[in-house]
Amino acid sequence: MSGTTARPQSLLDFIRFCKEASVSTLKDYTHIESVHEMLPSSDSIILGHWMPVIIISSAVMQITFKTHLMTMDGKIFSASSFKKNPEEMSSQQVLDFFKEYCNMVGGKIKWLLEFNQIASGISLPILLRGFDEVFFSHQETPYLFSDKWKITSNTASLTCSILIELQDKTLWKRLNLNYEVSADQSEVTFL
Amino acid sequence: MITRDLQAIHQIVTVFEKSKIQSDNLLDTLPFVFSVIDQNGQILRGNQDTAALFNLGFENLIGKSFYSFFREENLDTFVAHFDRVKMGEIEHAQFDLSIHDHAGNERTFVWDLSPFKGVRSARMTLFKIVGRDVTEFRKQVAQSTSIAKEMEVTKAIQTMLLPKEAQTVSSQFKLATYYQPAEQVGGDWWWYDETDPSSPLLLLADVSGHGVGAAMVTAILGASYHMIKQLTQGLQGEAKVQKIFEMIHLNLIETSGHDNWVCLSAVQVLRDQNQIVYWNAGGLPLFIKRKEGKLDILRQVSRPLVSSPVELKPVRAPLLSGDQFFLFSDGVIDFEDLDGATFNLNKLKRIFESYQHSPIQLTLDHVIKTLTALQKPGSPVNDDRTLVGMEVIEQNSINA
Repeated sequence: MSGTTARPQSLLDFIRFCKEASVSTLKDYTHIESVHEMLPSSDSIILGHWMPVIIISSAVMQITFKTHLMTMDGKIFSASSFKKNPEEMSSQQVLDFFKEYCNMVGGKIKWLLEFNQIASGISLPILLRGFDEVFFSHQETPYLFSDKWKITSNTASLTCSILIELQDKTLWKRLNLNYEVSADQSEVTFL
Repeated sequence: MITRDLQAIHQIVTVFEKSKIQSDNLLDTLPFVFSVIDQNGQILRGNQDTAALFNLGFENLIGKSFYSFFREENLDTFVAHFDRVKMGEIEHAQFDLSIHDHAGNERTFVWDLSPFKGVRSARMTLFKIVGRDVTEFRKQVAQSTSIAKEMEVTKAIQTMLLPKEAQTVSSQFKLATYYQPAEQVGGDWWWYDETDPSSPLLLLADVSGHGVGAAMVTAILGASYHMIKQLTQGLQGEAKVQKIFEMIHLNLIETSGHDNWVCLSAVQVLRDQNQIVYWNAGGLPLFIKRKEGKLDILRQVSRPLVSSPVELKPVRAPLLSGDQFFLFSDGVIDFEDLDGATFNLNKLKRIFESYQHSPIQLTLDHVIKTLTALQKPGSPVNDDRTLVGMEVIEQNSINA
């Protein structure tokens, strides 16, 4: 977890929802049972060669969800969805898979906001390089929060991160998101 | 309405993504080392040339220390330059520094190190490194320097083998010469010899080709001539020149084989007979500009030395006081003129004819100036250019 000041419980809960959504989505779509969340093992800014990104925007906040991965890890995670061995996967298939993965996780975040009567829009997922992380802000403020977490299986790992920008810094005090509904909502089959 | 807005935004995102991918691919394939590093020298982004140099997978460059590419003896230099940029002492550092590639080969690079701008966080300071492999270039420069030094030596040797004075006045003759090699050194050689006052000799040789190879043969030719001159001291008149040609021919074959043919012409002045003898082995005709302005041309078709056995047919002509005669190499006429046509003997003849009744140096200057003016601008000088002329001094006329 990033940040130097204590975070309100509602923010922590929201981030927890995002983490669970990212883990459960990956587990569902990769069919890898060993997928689980871990603390990030690196303090480096650049966490992977690729960085698919999706943005969920509403009147009160903007959420940027990013996945940081290396091609080889991506092949291992995505291969079973394509019913292939990792070495048979092309880079393009891997990148398409993870753009769609971002889309699914972003969809769940949007669903949570909508469930709490916060109208929002979601962007198309866009593929960036891991290096582009340097162009994102990393300095936490009362308006800006970020977090990252690692997702691993027995043989591969990737990192997810989230950047939350508020329009109103008191939002977390007023916001009481109901996230009791399971994050595990949907299923996608990759062809 | 909102749906249409969203569609437009999605289209922009799609275009942006394509553009971004193209830009990244360009950076990936830059034909030199390119990396972005943090303050500790850790690579955040590299390119394929960087990865190939160190035999790393492209994606594995991330997190690798750029310092690890330098051996201990060079790392301090790199860090010193990097520190100056980090401290803001200089905007960018440019320096030469060797690295060893994955195979252990030492490679010389010119490095350019400067801040990487555009980073969002003020706390994060990044730097970009560009490295150009100049190993081969530096080798070529070293070789060129070495060749240039050798050329200077060759040029000095060749200069020693030519007469020191381009304009000479003896008791009987005025001499005027123009010598311009196509390169630093050339394949033309000339000599004026008045050792035997009864039959002074003017020689001109043109070795096939030009540059260092031809210059080496002229060096052999010059050295041979001076040796043969001693050996033929006992001979007189035409027999002496005949022997000189034959011995030069044999000596050239002996020392440099059959690769370089040599056109050798000579004019022997027979004082007591008021005549000149024109000797030619493959050279161009002799131009005799008579005192009254008429131009006589002595032709003698023959094969160059080295190409075949020596078969000389010397041609005699009268020589009057005030007459001028000229020997020249084919570089004098081997060029493209203003009309795009190859210059030729007839055109050269007209230049000589257009300038009558002049002292020999003025005649030669006029010919060279006119040739230069007629040459098509920018067209290369293909061959060494030598023009040597002699004029019989009037007050000491050998013609009564």
